[in-house]
Amino acid sequence: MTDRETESRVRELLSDTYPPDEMRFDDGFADRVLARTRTDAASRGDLTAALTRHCRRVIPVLLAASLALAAWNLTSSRGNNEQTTENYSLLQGAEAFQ
Amino acid sequence: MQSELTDAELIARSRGGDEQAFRLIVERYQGVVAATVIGMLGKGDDADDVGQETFIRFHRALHDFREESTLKTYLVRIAMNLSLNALKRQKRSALRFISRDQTSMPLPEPVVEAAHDDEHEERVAVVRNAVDALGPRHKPVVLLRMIQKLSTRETADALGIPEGTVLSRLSRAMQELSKALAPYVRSGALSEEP
Repeated sequence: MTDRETESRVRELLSDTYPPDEMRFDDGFADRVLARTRTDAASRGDLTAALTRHCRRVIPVLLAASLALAAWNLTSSRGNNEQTTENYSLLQGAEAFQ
Repeated sequence: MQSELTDAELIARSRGGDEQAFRLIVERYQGVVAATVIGMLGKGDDADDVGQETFIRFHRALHDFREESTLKTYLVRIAMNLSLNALKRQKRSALRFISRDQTSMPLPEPVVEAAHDDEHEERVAVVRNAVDALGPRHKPVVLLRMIQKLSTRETADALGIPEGTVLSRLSRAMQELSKALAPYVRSGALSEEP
């Protein structure tokens, strides 16, 4: 048996095993898909709305907290700078020259 | 709505929220998606779910679809990827119930001398097992090229591989199938049936 004949037999076996009329979905497939796309779109819409609501609540709080932290950081760093300069002078024995 | 609208027109309308246009896309391509997922997973609820998921993924990606490939091969690609994922899940869950020494299941030995109906059923089972045994690299090529009769170019596009790779995988797969189905190939089982 030639390679061509063998391949032809395999093709026949495949066609017989996977007949086109069996390779289809049950009736109403398009309806099932559209029902799911509606649910999917609605749930994605719900998620977006929930995230927006959440952001509206959280963002002002985060902003206020950031500003407060920045202000606190600014005032405390001034004190630290003065303290650091003092310590550095002590280390260098700067007092001796005062 | 007229069904002679082109894919591009239907896509444009679907992007605008036209549900009927999207329904026409589903109706136009459910055959090719069904052939892909049923070929990969067998007929049943899993195949139906994966088929639905294929169109839902496409619906979500409507605005990103660039029409670099045809809608047909684009949908086949989604369907094939989802089917391969489903097969992996099935394999993982099956392995939980199979002890380690039983993980490799041999193909059933073909018996050609059986009653006609039984013989047909058995042959179908043997061919399906042989195709399943090809694995995730060769099975999709056989399914798209030999069973769905897609062109080499369409198969390459759907699988995201070069045409040369399609041809080499197909050649290898046909060799394996010829070997696995040797008793039926030699006996010419189909041509002898009434």
